[in-house]
Amino acid sequence: MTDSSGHWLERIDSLWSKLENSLNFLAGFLVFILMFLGVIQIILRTVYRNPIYGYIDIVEVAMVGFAVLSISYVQRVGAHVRMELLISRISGRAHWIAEAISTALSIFIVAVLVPYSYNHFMRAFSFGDSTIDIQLPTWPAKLIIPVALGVLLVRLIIQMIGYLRLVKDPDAKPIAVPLIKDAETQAEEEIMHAEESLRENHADNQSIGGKN
Amino acid sequence: MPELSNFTIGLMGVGLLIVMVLLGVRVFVAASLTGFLGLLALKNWDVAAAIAGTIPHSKTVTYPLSVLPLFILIGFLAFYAGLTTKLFEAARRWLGWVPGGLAVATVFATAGFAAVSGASTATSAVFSRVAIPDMLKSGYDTRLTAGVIAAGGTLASLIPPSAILVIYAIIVEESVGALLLAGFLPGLVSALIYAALIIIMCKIKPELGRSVTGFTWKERLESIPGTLPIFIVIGIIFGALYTGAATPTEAGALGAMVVFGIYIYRAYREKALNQMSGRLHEALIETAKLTVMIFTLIWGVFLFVRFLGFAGLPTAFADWVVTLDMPPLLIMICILLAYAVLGMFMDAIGMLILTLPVVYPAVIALGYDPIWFGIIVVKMAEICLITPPIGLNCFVVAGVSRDLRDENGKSLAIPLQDVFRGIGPFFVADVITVAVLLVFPQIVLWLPQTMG
Amino acid sequence: AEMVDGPKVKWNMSLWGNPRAITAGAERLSELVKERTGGKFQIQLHYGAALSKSRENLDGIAVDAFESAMLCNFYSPQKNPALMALTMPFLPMSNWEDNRKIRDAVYAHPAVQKEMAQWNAMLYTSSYLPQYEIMGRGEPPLKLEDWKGKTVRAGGGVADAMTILGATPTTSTATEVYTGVQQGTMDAASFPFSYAHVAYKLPEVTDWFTTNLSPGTSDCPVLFSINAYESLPDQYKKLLEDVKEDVIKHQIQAYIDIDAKNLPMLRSQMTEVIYSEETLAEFRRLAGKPVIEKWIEENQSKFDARGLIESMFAAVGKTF
Ligand code: NA
Ligand code: NA
Repeated sequence: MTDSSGHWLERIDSLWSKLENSLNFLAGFLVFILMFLGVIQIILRTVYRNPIYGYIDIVEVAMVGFAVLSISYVQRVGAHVRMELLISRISGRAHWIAEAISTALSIFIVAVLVPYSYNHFMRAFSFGDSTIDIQLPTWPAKLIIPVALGVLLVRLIIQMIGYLRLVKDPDAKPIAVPLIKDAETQAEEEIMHAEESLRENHADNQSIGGKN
Repeated sequence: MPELSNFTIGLMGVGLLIVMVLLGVRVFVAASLTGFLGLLALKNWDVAAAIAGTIPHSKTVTYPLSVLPLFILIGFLAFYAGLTTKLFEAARRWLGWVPGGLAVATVFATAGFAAVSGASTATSAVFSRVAIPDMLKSGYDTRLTAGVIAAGGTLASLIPPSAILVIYAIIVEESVGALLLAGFLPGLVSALIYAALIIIMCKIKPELGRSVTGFTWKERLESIPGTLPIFIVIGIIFGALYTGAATPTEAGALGAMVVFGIYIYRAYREKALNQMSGRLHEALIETAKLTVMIFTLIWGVFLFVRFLGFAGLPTAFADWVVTLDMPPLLIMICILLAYAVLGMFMDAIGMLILTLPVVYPAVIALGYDPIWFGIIVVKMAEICLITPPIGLNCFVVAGVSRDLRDENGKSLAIPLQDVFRGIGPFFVADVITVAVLLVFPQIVLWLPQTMG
Repeated sequence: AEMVDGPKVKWNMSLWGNPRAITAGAERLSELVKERTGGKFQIQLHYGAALSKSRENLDGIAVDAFESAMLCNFYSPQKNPALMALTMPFLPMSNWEDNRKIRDAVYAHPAVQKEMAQWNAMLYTSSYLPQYEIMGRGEPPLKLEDWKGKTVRAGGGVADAMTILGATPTTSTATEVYTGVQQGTMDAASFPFSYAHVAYKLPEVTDWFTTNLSPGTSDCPVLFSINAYESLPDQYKKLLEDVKEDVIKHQIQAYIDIDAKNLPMLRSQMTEVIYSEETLAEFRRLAGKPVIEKWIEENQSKFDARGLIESMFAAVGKTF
């Protein structure tokens, strides 16, 4: 019974992870675009004295993309900052109960924010709202917020199920929950990436004759 | 008395936030939940939830903040282009011989990197990767290692470009260029005081970190060319900002583009272009991750700050300061102490934005220079980045260290509590720096005054 | 004035920035209301966007987060398209009296009241911003042709008007204008004259300023929440009306006082560009009417834009 529920949880987790990975990459790509846009703006203004009119508006509307899109990805990999001083000292069932309570608090506030940030979007959508200079509508950016928080809400529920499963059976293999500190049990791809970049940089170090 | 009860609710909110953060609730959850519950106590469900619902959009989508991902991207691109390692390598060859040489090298490497990075946390993040493996391998004390990286990161906010100085300039409507310039010398002074402290500590207790010797002058000189790209980027960013040819966001974009160019050039020269798309992908993913982490923290804290605003806590603070019958210097010291207390539980940008509208006019009325105060207040905000319970730089060092392994695959993770303990001496150094700037305001004002 | 008795009521007013000329009216309102009720009715001012981002004060009013706020119409034009009529170029409001008549006519117009009402907002009073003027460096634009090729910081109707003259409008946050002009990335900037130019220290880096171009303005009203206003006892509603005249006088006097301080200083160190009546007429013909016509065309389907413009001109005895 537990095994089959764990199996399902694993599948939902990996499915949702794919969505989160795409959103995170999209956010990073937007930063990349922002870089080009900024350089183009400098060139147009200094060389041609004819900057993009409404550049600030464009940036403001686009920045919601890198400000919130990957909020769920960051939650999945456990990168939203927190103080682990106490929670890392307790183990076994008590640890999972503490994590579950913390996750329940997260679910509560995010569940409040999803509909009410949607209302914030609806006001802009139905009464009208725009940026200052070129009057871009702001509702698409405002809609991104409840969408990204909605993705986060699902992620939190997946994690909640994961924690509850561990509360029931503390010795089961943790599924769909971020683990603190212990690099051994970090998600596999995270470790691979980190090691790879580290190795490459050590190689750089050696190539200029570093010694220890 | 309704004011009193609002004030009490405000203080209870502060207490609840601290408890939740200590218990390991994610900071953005603790802050936004406390903010929401506080608003609920002051208003009703619909109003509290409606206010909360506007915050994630309105507090993240403001143009000046768009500089952050670009400054972070510069940091990561510089890291992937190997600039950080070269900087660190040059610093250790030139400075390794002093007691605690690697720690001193880290201080000056972060100071150098500060000139291409505008975000403290990003600087701590990239140097965690570069310096932790090296320092731990050389037998450096774990806490000193973590402390110097977390504290070194804060130099990024004083040495231009700096996101937080830009934010200060925007809030108080002062010249961004003058402020960025003003931060340069104090940043250097901070670095020197950090270094002096490390040398004294390691002289007294050599087991904290031993000197790294044996570099020839030839090896030292050879390490210089690798750091040249950093100086090119410094010239470009500094030039763009200084001449006003670009906004901070645009200068950040230009800086990122230049580092990106250097990176492509290096990859081409080393015939490693095939690795490039992977590394760029990695840089973008890491940038997005760190950016959203910071933005989430910003709106989370701002939801809490909004609640404080409705509870009237900042107004109460301002009233209290203004009615004080004390000499200006004493009031200034009180203000700085208040910042130190606030900073214990508040994020740096949030703290500035919350307090400046009330504190700034009082400070100016007392006859202090706006630019000088900007540097002081940013230094205080930077101290907040390394003090518990919300010391973002400390979280970053602990967080990044989780991913690190030594050559044998052994984890190099540094627990958060060790980072906070390691920060102790640097906190003292920062207090000394603030005192030095109080006594010698010319350190701050000399450069902007020569600007003409 | 006699005291007004009533229940204890406390309102919050959401403001941004620091106390300055534009908040003088709000400050006076808070002061008078408190004084006249012996502290029973209080309107507490919250500066520094402590209660809401400046551009989202209408959202705050809509959800009853606070009872009162200021806003500027150009902060998010599509939230208040009808109120944007006050950004049109060359409105005949070059003296304080006409300034007041035209703004009051806009506030009385049903289209404006309706668009505010959907946000649960009612307009109490304008802050009667002075007209925009342009301050810049280099050769002063003495003739209309001189504007060709100049980069001018301007938005809304002012930007449209400058484009017609061959200038390049550019946007930037107010605080960046100083460096922009200093470094030559822009030649000139439009701001409410003269308090904003001086507040942003433009005279330090500029050589000339216009005083009768009046290429447009903007509008920053003090708003009340309709819900909050409706629940006030009648004597407090009446009090708000009674003190209004004093609030307005106080507001306008704030600009006059600043001008009295600024103008001699500006005239002593810079070139004042004064256009002849003929030049202004030519400017209005080229860049005034066409821009307003275009705006009417874009908005007529949403509300009676033409009627609104006509009522503005009628308020000062002119026809559009
Ligand atoms: Na920096
Ligand atoms: Na802190």
